[in-house]
Amino acid sequence: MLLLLWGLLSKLELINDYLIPSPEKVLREGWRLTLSGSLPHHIAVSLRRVFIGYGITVSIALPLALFLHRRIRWMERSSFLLSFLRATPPLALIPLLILWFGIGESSKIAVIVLAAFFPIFLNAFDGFQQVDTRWHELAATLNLSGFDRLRFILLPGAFPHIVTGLRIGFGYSWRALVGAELFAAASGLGYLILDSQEMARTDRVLVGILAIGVLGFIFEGILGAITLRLSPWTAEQSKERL
Amino acid sequence: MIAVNLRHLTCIYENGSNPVTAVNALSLRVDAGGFTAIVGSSGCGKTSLLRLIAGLRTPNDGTIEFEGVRQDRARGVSALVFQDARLLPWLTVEKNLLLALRSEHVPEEDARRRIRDAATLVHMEKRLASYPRHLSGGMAQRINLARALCQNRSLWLLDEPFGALDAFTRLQLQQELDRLWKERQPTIFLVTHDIGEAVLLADRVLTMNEGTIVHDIAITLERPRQRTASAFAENVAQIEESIMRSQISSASREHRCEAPHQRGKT
Repeated sequence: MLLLLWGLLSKLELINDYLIPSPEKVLREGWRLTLSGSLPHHIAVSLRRVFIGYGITVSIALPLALFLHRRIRWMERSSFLLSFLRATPPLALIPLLILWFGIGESSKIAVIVLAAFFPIFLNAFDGFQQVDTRWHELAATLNLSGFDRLRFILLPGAFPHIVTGLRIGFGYSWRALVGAELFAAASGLGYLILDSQEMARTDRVLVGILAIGVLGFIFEGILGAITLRLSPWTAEQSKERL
Repeated sequence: MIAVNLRHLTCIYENGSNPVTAVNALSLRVDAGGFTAIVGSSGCGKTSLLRLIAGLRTPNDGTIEFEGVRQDRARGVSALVFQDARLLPWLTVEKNLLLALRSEHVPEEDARRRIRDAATLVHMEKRLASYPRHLSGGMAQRINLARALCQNRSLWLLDEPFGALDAFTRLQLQQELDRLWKERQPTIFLVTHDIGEAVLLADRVLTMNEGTIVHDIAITLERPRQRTASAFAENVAQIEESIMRSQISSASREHRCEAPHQRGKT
């Protein structure tokens, strides 16, 4: 619908072709960049950064949430620090991160880690805390070991919260990545957008934006499908609630 | 089977400035292999007592011993059937039952045989592959019972296990429980609201009120017991009377406590 409206407005020359090029022009440019290998290269670079940063975040945030969910005092004591860090936009830290980590990959990955950490950590923390007491009692009467409690009670019990955090965290890390690539990068979708803007190629800018949107949509769908596959009971509960 | 010894057991629930004594300095000895039913009105402390014996709550005072061993040192002694079915929604019925055997480190084939046997006892052997969300309340409760049956525990704690079942299934399972008790000789504590059920199954019925045992009634009827027998009806009447008397005496105590306060108002 939006695409049709956009096409119609361009056709009728109601919008400036320099500010918003026609869909045909954008798609043609996208196709050209794909064939030349430039767009796949930028996508691959951006995805690599996201996956590394996201992977690091998940491997820190989930164990930390698991460790802290029974240590409420520790969380209470660090509440100021957590609120401070959560309120600080990761992009505001880019100058510092460049100073600390240089203009290479590390600073961009650090931005992603900072952006994705809190949604993943806080959702997992809430999830572990909100596992029904009845399941803990069941585990106690069944005399389950610590590992079995984690495997059969805690992780599946907290799963819906964990997945929500992972989905939000992925969106945040994707947004932060593009922001980081706008500052100091020689490749990646953020770089493609900034470089195209400097060369006054709005069609290429739109190609970059569309690529980001489409990739975000695809990965959101993949995470949703994984959730449904791994926790069909939560999907049915949501249906019942509706 | 295992002997259970409770000494001066007290359980207090903190309720802001108004703590509630659920179990009040209760002492009790149950011989190994005994079948004890606990009856009483809602809130009299039956379930709290069962949770204390199961180790789900630490007593504020008193001790619990199994064959002379302190409860906190005796692991894997009891199997508890909760009031609610409490099946993990993310596991199939079969996996829910297998989970009950994990701490026993049973070989897989043996474990599967045991859960199949337990599921057959409660007529649920065809639903092993189902998820709990696809079971009715009664079916889930039967699996809850099967979970306790498949464990090799010497103390069974049953908290109104047949409460959610239809009359026909309830009668069937009461007979099964009677048969299993004779066959395996576990020590059983059965919390129930159904006085007939208590007389039918137990060899000792405790009536509780305000966290203490009011009456300890031995049931000496021969097994299998017939609900239509006059001696059965006499036992039921005796227990009913015990519960009524204890309720009347606590009501009059409350009345005596309130009276001076009310006099002040008038």
